[in-house]
Amino acid sequence: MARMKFLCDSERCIECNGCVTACKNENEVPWGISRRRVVTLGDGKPGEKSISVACMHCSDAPCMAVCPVDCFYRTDEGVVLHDKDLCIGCGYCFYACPFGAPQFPQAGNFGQRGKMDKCTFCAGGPEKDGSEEERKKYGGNRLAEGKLPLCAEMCSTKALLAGDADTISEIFRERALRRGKGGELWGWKQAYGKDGAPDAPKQGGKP
Amino acid sequence: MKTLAFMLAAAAMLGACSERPQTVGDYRGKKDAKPYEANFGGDKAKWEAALRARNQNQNEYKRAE
Amino acid sequence: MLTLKNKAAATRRARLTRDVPLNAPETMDRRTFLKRSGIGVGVGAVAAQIGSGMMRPATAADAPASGKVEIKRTVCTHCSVGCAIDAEVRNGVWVGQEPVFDSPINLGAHCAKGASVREHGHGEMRLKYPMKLVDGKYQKISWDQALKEISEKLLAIRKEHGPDAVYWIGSSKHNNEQSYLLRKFVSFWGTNNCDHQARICHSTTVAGVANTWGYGAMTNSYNDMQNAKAIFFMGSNAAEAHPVAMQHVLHAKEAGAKIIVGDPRFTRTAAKADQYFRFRSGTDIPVIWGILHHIFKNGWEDKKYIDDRVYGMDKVRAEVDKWTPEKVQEVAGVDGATLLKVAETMAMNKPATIVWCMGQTQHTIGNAIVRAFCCLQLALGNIGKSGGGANIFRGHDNVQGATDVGPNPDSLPGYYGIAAGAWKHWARVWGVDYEWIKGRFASEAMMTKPGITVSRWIDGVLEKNELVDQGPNLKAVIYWGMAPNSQTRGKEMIEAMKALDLLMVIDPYPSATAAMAAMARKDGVYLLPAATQFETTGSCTASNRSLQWREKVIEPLFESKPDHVIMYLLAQKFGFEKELTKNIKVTNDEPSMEDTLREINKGTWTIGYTGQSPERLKLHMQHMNTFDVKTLKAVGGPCDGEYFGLPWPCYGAPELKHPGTPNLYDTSKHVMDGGGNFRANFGVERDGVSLLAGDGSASKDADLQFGYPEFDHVLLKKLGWWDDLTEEEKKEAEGKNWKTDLSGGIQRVVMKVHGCHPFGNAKARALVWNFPDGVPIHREPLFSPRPDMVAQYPTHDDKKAFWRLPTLYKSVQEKNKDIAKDFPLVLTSGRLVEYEGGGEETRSNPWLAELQQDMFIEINPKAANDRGIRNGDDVWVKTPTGAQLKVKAMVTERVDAGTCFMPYHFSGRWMGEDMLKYYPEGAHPIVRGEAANTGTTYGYDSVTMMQETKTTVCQVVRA
Ligand code: SF4
Repeated sequence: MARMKFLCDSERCIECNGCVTACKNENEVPWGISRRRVVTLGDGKPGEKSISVACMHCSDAPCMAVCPVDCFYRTDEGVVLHDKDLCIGCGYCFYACPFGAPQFPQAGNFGQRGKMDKCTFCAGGPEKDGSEEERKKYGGNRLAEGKLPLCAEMCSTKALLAGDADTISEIFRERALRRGKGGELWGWKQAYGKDGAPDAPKQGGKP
Repeated sequence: MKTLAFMLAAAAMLGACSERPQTVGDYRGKKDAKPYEANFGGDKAKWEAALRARNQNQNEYKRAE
Repeated sequence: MLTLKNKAAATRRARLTRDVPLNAPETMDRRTFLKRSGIGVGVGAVAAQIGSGMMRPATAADAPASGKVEIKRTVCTHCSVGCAIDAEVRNGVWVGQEPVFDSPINLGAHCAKGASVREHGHGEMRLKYPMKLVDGKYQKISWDQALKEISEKLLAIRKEHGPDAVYWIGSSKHNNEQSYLLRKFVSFWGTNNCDHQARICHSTTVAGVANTWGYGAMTNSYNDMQNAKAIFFMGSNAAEAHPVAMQHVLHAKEAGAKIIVGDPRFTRTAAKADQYFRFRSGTDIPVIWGILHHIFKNGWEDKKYIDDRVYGMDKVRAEVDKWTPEKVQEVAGVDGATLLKVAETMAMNKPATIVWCMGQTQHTIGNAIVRAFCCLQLALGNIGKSGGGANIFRGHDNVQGATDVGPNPDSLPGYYGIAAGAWKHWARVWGVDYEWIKGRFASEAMMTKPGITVSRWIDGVLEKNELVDQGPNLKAVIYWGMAPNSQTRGKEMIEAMKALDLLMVIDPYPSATAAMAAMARKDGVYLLPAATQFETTGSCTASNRSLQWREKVIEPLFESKPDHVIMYLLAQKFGFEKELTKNIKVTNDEPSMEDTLREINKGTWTIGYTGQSPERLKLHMQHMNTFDVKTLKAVGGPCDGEYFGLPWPCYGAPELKHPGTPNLYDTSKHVMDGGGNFRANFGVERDGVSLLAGDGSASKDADLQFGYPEFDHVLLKKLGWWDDLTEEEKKEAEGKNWKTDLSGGIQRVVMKVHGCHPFGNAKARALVWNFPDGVPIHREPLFSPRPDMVAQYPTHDDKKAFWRLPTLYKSVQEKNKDIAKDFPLVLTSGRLVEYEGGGEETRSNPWLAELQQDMFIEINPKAANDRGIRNGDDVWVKTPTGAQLKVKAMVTERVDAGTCFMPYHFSGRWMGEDMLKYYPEGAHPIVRGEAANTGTTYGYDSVTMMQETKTTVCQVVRA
């Protein structure tokens, strides 16, 4: 059974923002909403590291837990989605989410919060798969086409991986072994718990 | 209906107690189709195999040692 | 219950905040910085400009979900990496973009720019129809009216002042066929006054490298860097400028390659390096000589290689001896131990490669800097080896191709030059009479005199007429796919624009030219909408010399037309459309791109643009999956044995089936398998020393296993190879050489029958005696913060008529000796990953524009604190030209306390003023900012007229 996960290899991420615009492209995300962002730590200093962050599709998703209208669901593949028709834009999920994934477009002229929008793992939402309706509300549905999220598929250095947890851990493990040290798997434990964590080799000496 | 739910939630927050236990999973929205229905004729194994194969595109070691 | 969960969530958040200080004040990354500072621009305001909504339906309305989806294969237009793209098109609308995992170049990957190109399919901020400046406002006019008025004005100028009064700036974003046609077009107009982007990005590389070993191009490829054991970047920030190249670099790093970065700025590339060192901007030569110093001292140089394949290394060594670690420390600010480590890493990890970009090229001594870097590789014996080479990353998607066959002021396509022989060669290929072309020029002298360069057109307008080395001053300028804000001295450019009779912009976007012109003038400006490369077809040459064929994705949007259609329409008005397209089929005013490439194939023997027929290129595009990623060679399939994109030189006619050359000068391969050696282009002997390669040093299995000169009919006969030609070939080859024999017979016989290299087999030149500094020596920039250094390392003497213009060196440097008193900070510039070039195109794309909303200057905390500047403050950047730019201060340790950095992609603000009102309505870039080059100063390379942008000076004060 596939369990969908993201993994960002900070040894490879060069903060090119390809993932961010790939997401805009695939999902027609409007100005002001970023389903994915690149965060840089230690900007401009030796040791500078970047990682690409979006909804981590947590196994025990805080957003889901706190939603007052229960508009979230988790698919069999572990993708956390929500029903925009039900969402009331209260913003509680944003508060709960450790990654700041939920976003709220401005609706109307008074700056009210619109319905929550977040990364769907390119799996659309609860509308007919591949329909115009789904596309308008949630963006593309690549999973239903047998494809993976565009952000990862287009990543310039293949730093951002997306797909079945076992498969991507395997890809990552191979790299980590080659370089003899692990990249920091940012947020992995947080989002996924112990289960499914790749056992990256010990951190070696970094120049 | 939505407003009502929100008020309930708000009351719950303020009162620090809840009428309705918020357990994960009692999703109340529209039912979503399985991802392998639309384009894979409901064949889950085939869909999973397609994704696994696709995943290897993210591993350039498959094409360059 | 809920509270409990709430608490759990809060704890998680707290934990995260501890691990990753997303909001911690001490780590202010560029993204956070811009996000915060961008609040002023107003997300709301911009959203209103571009329309908002829960999900923008953009394309949906025009593309009913019912139609069939077609896949069109194209190539990203935003840099020279050449990433392939599959565009999904439904009912003529570009509805989806898919990664091309099969591409051996990018394996599906893209940076922010490439991942956003679909926006081109529905972007609104385009120049939509021809426009004319009337009373300071742009008005819509028809194509007919535009072409009529423009051509009448240009013809009147030609009549009154002669053909040299018009200046044609072409584009590095034209495809090969359009670039080539434009050079031909300008020739038939009767001038050499044409140029393009390459002048100001890699002209010093092209001249420096070609004069060192033969061809002025990247020797290996992005892919080949996977074979390197050490990779040394100097003056290149690939992580932002060539992001997908980093896939290969980081892959190599995982395989154990050592990454070294030397740069005045701690770049994102530096962040991925094993070794990083900072040096003072403009002191590249002392640094490189400092490294070579350690190499020679420790005997790490490749002596046999130098003996067999390099001329003049002893002269270099004499200069290097002067650069002791102490001296390097004094001049460049890098200590000996650091450079010893670099030297050791390069010497002990072979093959090692080097990478440079505009950090080295854009200097008054750019030609010398790049040659010094070449000398390092020659000393180590790394050139002509897989995993080694000089990996010079070019900028625009087709800047390599436009350099090879496009509008250069000193050369016809294929670096043939502009001597009479070159004109005669091309006249034959074009099927037009040489005398007729000559008649189009002001005189035979003007026909063979290099034109003005794009870096200096403003002086072509403003300089006193008696000092200009051509009849008239420039009266009209055509900006055909080029950004004005990428040229220095923006403040003076406004004056030049005012003085013109006519200014024409041909571009998919109005570009900064339109806005600057409307600010400077009331009339005399025309804008013609050009189609993008997604709206036409043709080939483009990536930095590694591979050609890729683009399919047309969509029809030209709005009223735009492809550049070659516009060329044809103008040629019609000028009356030479028949000559322009003699060998080229024209359908509905559109010259066939395939036929144009065939004509390029027919004439471009010098650099092997002869084998890449449209048919072969298209086959490669369809079978990308068969090419190996590390060698670029096809394994089986219809392209078996060929290298991807037939990287030039791909010699001989297409039928010869030359596979292309993945790595230049590689003697380990047979010439028919892409092997080669250094070029014999500078005679056979100098001061009694042979310039030909040493014995035993030749390409694999060549009949001649020693140095030999280039081939012509005489040599062929001497060697007894003449009879290997067919009777047909003999007829054509008589009296010709390997470059001018249109039958291709000489190349065929030399390569296929005898395994030799048509351009001969010589040594590379560490000493380029025909340049001002044969051995590269350090000279301070014209505007230097160090008067003591100026005294020790003064610049060149002034030149009188250099590329038709007086060009100043010493007089400017002398006058500004003490400039540091008022302008104590070094100002340098560079790229951001989200934008390209002048940036108007990418800043008009909301997906990209959102990511970088403010022009900024990077300033070190010390320099900032000394000036009372805080992060995010508005500041004035003042420069010696009197310009002052209002930008945001980004306080960061990326730069040292004496250096500031500005990105050069912005325009649309002018010394504090928003230029929005000067753009045609609804066609302005979403993000506007001060152009760095509004403030840059005078200074040009002593060989190529490259502009100095990387070392000038400024002062920064709080606004
Ligand atoms: S800009 Fe360059 S690196 Fe980025 S996607 Fe385009 S070609 Fe590739």
